[in-house]
Amino acid sequence: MARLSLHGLSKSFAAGQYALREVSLEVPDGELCTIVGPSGCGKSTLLHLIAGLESPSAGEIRIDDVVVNRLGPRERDVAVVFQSYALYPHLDVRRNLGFPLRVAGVPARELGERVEATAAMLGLGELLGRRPRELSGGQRQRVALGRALIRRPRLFLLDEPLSNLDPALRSEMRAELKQLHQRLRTTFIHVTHDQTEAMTLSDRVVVLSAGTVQQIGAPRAIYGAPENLFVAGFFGQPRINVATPEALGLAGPTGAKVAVRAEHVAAGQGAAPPGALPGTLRLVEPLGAETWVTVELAQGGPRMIARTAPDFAGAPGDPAWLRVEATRLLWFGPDGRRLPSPAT
Amino acid sequence: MSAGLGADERRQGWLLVAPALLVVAAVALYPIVAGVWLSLHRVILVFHEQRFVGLDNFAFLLEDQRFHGALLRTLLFTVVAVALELGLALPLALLLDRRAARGLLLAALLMPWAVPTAVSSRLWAWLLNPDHGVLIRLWPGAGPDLFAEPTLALLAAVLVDVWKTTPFVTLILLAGLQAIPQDLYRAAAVDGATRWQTFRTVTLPLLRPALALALLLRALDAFRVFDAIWVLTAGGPANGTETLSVYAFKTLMRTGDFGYGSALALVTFACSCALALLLSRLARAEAQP
Repeated sequence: MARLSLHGLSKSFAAGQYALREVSLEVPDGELCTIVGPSGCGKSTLLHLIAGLESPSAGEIRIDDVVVNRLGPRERDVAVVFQSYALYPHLDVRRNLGFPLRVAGVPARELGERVEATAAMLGLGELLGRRPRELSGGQRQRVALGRALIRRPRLFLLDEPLSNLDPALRSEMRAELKQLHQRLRTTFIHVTHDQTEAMTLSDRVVVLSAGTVQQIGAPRAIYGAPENLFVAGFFGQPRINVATPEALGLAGPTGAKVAVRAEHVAAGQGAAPPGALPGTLRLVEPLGAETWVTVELAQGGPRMIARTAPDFAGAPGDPAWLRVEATRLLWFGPDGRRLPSPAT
Repeated sequence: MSAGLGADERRQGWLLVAPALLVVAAVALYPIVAGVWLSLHRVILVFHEQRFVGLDNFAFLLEDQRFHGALLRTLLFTVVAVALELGLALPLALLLDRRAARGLLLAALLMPWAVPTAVSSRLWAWLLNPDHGVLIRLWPGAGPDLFAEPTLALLAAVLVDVWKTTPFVTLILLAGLQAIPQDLYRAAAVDGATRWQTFRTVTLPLLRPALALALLLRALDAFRVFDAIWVLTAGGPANGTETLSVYAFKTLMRTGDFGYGSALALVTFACSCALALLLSRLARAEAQP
């Protein structure tokens, strides 16, 4: 159980080249906080800094109001689940799980009991005698989780824990992870590049790009009210539609962009009804529960995607139209920052 | 595999590997067979003598004190040299594994390995020369004559071997170290292991295959040691630094006793094979505790 605070945390590997720049963050006790961003944005570095595997170039890391900058990973009492799982290949599951306790000198009897209890909780009871190479990806993942859990650390750090699993297993483990957090109520810091994971798992999301924090907020706020174009584009499937105001028949400040999510765009076939934008059908992607329709506005104009009912029929090249919900438009300035919506 | 092949394909397969088989037979099989054949004969060139004597040469070997001495000395040389090499190479490899200027340090370290053994032995012979040797001059008072005392002379040969081959062992161990994923060290650090615990429970077990390989290669090489000793002492004084290879060479080339020399060479060969089998079995047993 711990509260984590970062103040102006920076890390540079070479002079002037920052992996992280001025990251500040407060994670209250018991929260599941996800740090999300594209690869190379510095999220793994941030995790290593919190764990004590690397030391910051500037700034402060506090756990429960104690500055831990100078403490090694041993003293910080944090646990990490690595992307590669980092299981000890020469040790069986029992010894992998017991490793943190053994190096801490926990008596053999207590160690045995805690290994059994952790294995039972994660459904690893049958596998205690196996080596990591004899386990499936999902089982390895559980062992890695168990090795982190067994110490009852103050802080859980998860580095892309699900990215090496196949898609079916990934959504299963995602749900398990969420339940685990709900049961343990320990502070979780979770790093991922997967926006779906970030949205579904987290209490709060930190969006990181090029080493700087873009936005911090609840998943819904990040999705519905992105503070800049990067965040708007990073979240959401399909990608948010971005166009110039002129293309949508709107007037706005010079250099401004408007963005709108596909669920706030309606599409139809044939001639455009009044108030709709005419265009040409370019792509129809049936997903089962819904169909994504890509329409090109005018000739060579911007392409926009609408989420429509699954029975949308039509072939590329057909005339089509789009209607955008004006109240759902997001406005961004030339610097990519969100603008207040003009009163319309 | 071959079950799915027709007779034609099988014949073609044999045809294709025939040249390689011929080469192997000519350069490896023929000398061994010739050695066995020679070892069953009494062949002394100067007397133009050549007759079949069965296992007489091997029977003599069992009673030959000089052979026993050489065998013991060879084993001693192997154990001491290889132990020192592994003992020195492991810390060096650990040090190199962490350094950024690895390329330069490695190049510097590999210099002794690049020098031919005959040259480095001559170098050390001069360095340790009782009258003019630089290292002996550093000794307070009259320096010892290493080459007059068999035990010291053998140790000098060990020194040459260690100096030359420690870089090679370091290289093997360094390759082994670099194959250990960094995440394992991170995991161990987060799991609360001290450096020493990490070394003992993570690094060392995972380095075992590399250690076993280095041990095997070096033990076989050391067991057949020839040039280091030949150049340094030529087996002297009073055959006191003679190893199996040196004894076999002397018997074959100096005395011209081809029969007994071949028997010695064959026994050396058999001992190396036994050593190789033993060590590789040991390595495999260690890999799966």
